[in-house]
Amino acid sequence: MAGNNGSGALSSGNFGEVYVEGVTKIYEKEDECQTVLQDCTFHVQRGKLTVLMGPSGCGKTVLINLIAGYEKPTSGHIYIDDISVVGPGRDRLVVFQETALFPWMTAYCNVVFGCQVRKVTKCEIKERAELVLKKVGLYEFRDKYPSQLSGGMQRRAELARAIINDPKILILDEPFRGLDAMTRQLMQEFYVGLFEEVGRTNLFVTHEIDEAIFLADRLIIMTFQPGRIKAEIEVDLPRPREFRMLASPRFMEIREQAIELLYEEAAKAFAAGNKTAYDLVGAVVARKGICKKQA
Amino acid sequence: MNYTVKEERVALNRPKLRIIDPPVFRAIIGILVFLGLWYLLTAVLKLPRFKLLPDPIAVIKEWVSFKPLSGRSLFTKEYYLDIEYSVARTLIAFLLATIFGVLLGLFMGWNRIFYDFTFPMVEILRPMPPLSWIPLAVLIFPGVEIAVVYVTFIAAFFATVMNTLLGVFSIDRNYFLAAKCLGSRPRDIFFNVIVPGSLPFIFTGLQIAMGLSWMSLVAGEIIAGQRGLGYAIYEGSSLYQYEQVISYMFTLGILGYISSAGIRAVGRRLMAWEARRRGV
Repeated sequence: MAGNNGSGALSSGNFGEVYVEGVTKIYEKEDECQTVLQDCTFHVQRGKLTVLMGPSGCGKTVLINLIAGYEKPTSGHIYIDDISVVGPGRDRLVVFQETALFPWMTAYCNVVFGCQVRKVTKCEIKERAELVLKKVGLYEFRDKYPSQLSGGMQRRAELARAIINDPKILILDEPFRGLDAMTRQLMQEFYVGLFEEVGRTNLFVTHEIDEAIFLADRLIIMTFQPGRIKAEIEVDLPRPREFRMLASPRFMEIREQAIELLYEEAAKAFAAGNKTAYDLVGAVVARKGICKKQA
Repeated sequence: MNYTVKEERVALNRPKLRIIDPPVFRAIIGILVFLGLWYLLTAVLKLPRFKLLPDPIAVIKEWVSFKPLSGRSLFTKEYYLDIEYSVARTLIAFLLATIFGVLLGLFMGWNRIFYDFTFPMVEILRPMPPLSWIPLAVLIFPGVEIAVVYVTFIAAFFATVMNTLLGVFSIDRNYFLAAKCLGSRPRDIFFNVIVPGSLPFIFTGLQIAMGLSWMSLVAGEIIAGQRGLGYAIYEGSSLYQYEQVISYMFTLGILGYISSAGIRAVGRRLMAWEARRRGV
């Protein structure tokens, strides 16, 4: 996976790792303190795909914002390769929940935006853009505006906009949310293929169990309010991943384990009236049944 | 199934009996109905308060007459001079309002500190009716001409500022985060996110501003003007030339329509992405 020879053009192979150490985040609102994250400590390994899981509202997005440098932790530290995070940086690129492609730019202009503001030479931009756009299958659609692309194409364009800059760490915050089931599955397959080819350090956030296990090398499960790290699960399914694996005994075993851990948190979120928790509770109820996404 | 649909389409396309577009046709019908009602009220029914009004035929006669009673018709130099004065005043005021209004709005939206400094004052000045500026404008500016332009400008200016500001605020926070994350400096964000992102609101604002300019222009001309469409309407009313008054009102209407259409055309050109989103 990591250090694949054929991937030299897509990446220089300079990947980073993230250390989150004792991070607490408290929001103060009119004399009322809300602890969103409490003493979170974990490690995103170099060249691995780490998936952060937990019910919605558990502070996953806040954690992402902290790692991305948009916000500062109340206490604790975040290091990227031993360097403390002080603000947003190009070494950590974020792919957002809903599409954040600029609607006023064509797919091409969106993809090369990062290179342009960094004043990369025109020649190099063109070369890299062509490579990346072909990689994500959008070369023919480079002159279309985001509104003219389908949901799946938009997500691919967004992936392209991030990977063209060859970040040390790629952070994806529920990137496939809002896609229909079929497109979502195709995107997962596409994304995992891309990861397996390049082997970049990836931090992927989701609240979908099947998606999480299918993609992950390592699963980090968070608790609901305040967000703490509940458990870490090593996902030892072989790569390359295929959708057949969703029905494999090992997959089911890991899934069972994850659901067991998540159940309590999901129930808490459910009691708090959180919508996404319904999905998790639904999954728990169906855990003795057949896996929904059988290939 | 597909086959029949295709057949139908071919059958519909073949005869091509339509001489004009249905929307144009409907617009013409709408105008004719309006004129018909007007004629009915003023010339046929002669309702108590309406019988003093000229009917549409009298207005059109005056409008296209070679020797108009008021001295102002399509075939007189006066008419075009009036238009020229009014159009020039509106255009200057509108362009100034666009330049300063958009700049002020963008900076207010861009910089929180600048916003804190300026917003309260803008909110106090904004509701002041443009006409209330006339005494001061006449006092400050040399000559009535600039005063009228100023009054026109003030009306358009605040509409532009407010809409531009709303435009900046309407931009999704994620676009800023994405731009920052990709390595943008503040300057890149201004030109690549703030300006294009607020364009839809800016152009809505410009259309409103254009309408407001025409309104306050005519009011300004009536009160303080020399020449121009508003002034001519005022003169016509004091000379009981109501045919001319009405023909000038329609002239204003048509000019307003053309200017709004112009703004929309420029907007469509600048916002190809927006039009495509709406599927136009």
